[in-house]
Amino acid sequence: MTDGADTPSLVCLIALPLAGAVAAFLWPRRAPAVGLGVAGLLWIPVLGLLIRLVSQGEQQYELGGWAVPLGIALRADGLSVFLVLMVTLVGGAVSGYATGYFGGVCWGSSFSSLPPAEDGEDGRDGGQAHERAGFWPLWLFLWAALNALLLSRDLFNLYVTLELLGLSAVALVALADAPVALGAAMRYLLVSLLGSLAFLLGVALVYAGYGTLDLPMLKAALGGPVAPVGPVALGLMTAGLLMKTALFPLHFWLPPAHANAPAPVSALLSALVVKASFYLLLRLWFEVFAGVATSGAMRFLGVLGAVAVLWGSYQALRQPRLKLLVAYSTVAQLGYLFLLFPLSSAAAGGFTAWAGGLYFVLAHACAKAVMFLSAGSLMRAAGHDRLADLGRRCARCR
Amino acid sequence: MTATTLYALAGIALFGLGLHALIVRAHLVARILALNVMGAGVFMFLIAVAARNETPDPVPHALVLTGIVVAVSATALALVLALRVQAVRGRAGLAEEESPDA
Amino acid sequence: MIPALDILLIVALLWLARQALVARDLFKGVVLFIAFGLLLALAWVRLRAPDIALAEAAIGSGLTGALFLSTLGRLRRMEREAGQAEPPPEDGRRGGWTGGFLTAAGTVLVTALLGWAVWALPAGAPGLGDAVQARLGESGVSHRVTAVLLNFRAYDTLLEVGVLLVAIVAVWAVARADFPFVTRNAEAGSVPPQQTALVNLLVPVMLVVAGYLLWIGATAPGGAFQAGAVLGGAGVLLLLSRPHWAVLPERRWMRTGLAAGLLVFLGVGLALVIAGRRLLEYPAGWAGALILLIEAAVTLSIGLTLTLLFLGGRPAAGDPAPTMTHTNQQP
Repeated sequence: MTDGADTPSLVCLIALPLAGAVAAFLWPRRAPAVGLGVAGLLWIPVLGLLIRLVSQGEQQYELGGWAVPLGIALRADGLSVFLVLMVTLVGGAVSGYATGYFGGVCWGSSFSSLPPAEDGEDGRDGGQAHERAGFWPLWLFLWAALNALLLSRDLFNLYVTLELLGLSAVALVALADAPVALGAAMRYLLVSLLGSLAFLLGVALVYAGYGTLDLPMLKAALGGPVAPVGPVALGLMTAGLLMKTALFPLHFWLPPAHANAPAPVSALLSALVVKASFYLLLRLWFEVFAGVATSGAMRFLGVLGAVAVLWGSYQALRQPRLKLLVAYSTVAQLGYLFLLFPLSSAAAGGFTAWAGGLYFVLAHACAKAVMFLSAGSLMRAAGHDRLADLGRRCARCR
Repeated sequence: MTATTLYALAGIALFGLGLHALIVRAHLVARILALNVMGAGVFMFLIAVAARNETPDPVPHALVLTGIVVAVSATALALVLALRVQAVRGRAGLAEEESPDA
Repeated sequence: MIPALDILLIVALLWLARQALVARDLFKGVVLFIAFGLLLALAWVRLRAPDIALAEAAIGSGLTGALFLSTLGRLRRMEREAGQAEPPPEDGRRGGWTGGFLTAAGTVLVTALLGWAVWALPAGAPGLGDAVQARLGESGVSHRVTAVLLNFRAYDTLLEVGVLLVAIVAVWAVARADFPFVTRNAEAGSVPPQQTALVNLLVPVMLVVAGYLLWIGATAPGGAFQAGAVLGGAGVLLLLSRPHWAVLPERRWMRTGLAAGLLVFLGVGLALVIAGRRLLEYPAGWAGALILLIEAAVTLSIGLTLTLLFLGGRPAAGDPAPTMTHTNQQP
């Protein structure tokens, strides 16, 4: 493991979007430019980190110069950097789309002459300035939170990143100021806060039992005598993260929230935000608590995933609206991710399961982002997203 | 049993009380209140843990101070959202029909 | 042997929490919650956590309580404007008797499991207290909680200041300010003069207290959070006594003031990175001064954030788009 004090790419990955968020808040008119600038500049530390990871192995950065467990360390291993790359890729693409979407210039003036959505279901009827006002600072805060979460190895720090992530995600959903979207945002917020509190109590139990918040140190401490506090803390944190990842049957909040948000937000939530809590589950179950997690529990998560695949797909087929269909497909795809738990612990094929699982995470992030962005453009063109009428309306647009 | 253990258990009890109210209450303000009580329970547990030592452990204290500020931020956002929900639908509750597969 | 005072305190806390959560009258529930918060501050004193007691009394009970009360006031007003004489009855939750029983049983089971894990905590008290004590001399402050918050775990605090800014951006994006005390019949002048006089007396005192708390945080319980909370309290009092301030247009300084904490915090951190150190690795001898600088900016931002959060939305005028939001609209 190398300490990255001389190349602060780890810090830049978090500080850059954070500084961008403040700038976007201070100069709202320049916010889209700030957003695009951050999206472009972030490639420098990302690629720098990738090169160092390949040449020197795992990277570590002790914040404030304090060694763990007193201080907080950032760490980057293959899994973290893979996901950071994914966030930079998808985040950059969505940022580009968002400049047009919220600016209302890129898709031709012909659309603006179309009548607004008659039922206001999509919440985009004249609320554009409102959406634009909050989008850029909130999205940049969300980006900083994603990177911070992927690089942190400190349990309490992870809680703070989860809250930063959750609050900005909820606010982004609420930008679509329609009644359905507000209800969905409220439900999302309650679930998100409950999940965070469960996670925080788990963190508190860990500190009470093992006296550390650092994940590698906790892993070492868990090798000692077994106390009930270990499994119970893992259970609490898992319950909180499952709510945020929307694994069946805790998925109820996801379809309304993802389907009613503005299109770029739907893309970010489905492609990236749910993956963050899933990543944390992987980190906890396979790395830190590997000795505590039983194969029975892994199988249980796998079964829930399998049910999610069936239920999500069935519901997706029944939806009358395009964005709801796409959102339910996310529920199903998240189910596939949880098949990783039983598969990777199987004696043979553990590596294949991991490779397949991570490839699936990336594929879903790209596909689902594009799916929601396309749905957003279709909705702009047609003024609604009812599947039954979309074909006719779009034929007229041509 | 020591006083700190009792406080730690009381913290867990507060968490449970809040959890129950969060599930059974329908009014959004009551549910946000329930989340605050749950948070207070977690904080009480952490401070009780800190008080096990001769001189209290400052790390949980710092964590709780951070937690209190996060809690008030979340509460402020939740209450404003609740008001918007009331404004657009005439009542501060979430309808069951919003979950399309429920 | 557990002191009777602690047992009494815990029983009272659990009873108050229970009563606050089951109260059908939300106003009663909120008042009980505020009492619960004040008693909680007492519990923190018993647990030798004076820093938390200060923050709890100011933020946890005071400002959170004020937020709840102002929200209830606005809800009632909306209901009146919609022609509802009384608050509508709360919707019944699903499931009926069996559902209620299952929920209760499930919660009791979860709580019992958690309680068992706490009960069976291994003997001994692992923690970082000794590690903090060992490096306290290098932290630039002599109060241990401040050393953890602003030095050892300063990165947590940096992100947390970010959470505060997210909250205000989110609240501004969701709603336009709709101050409960500015209504058509209660205009600016209707605040009793005694109240204004009292606030005029209190606010300077609170400013001095905030400054003192900020300064003393280096050596004793206090610091940016407590000072910011007192500042926020002063802001709320000013808003209550001068309702016309609540409808002032958004000004440049508001955004600057709200962002100042994060800006200075991040700026100091990054300046140190450019100087060849790590993020927030203060040079020897400079730690105390830099911590005070950061804390001063954070105090200002916390105070302003809490005040504007109490306003419950984006300041009234001064935004270019007429389509922003419409809090007053009824369906």
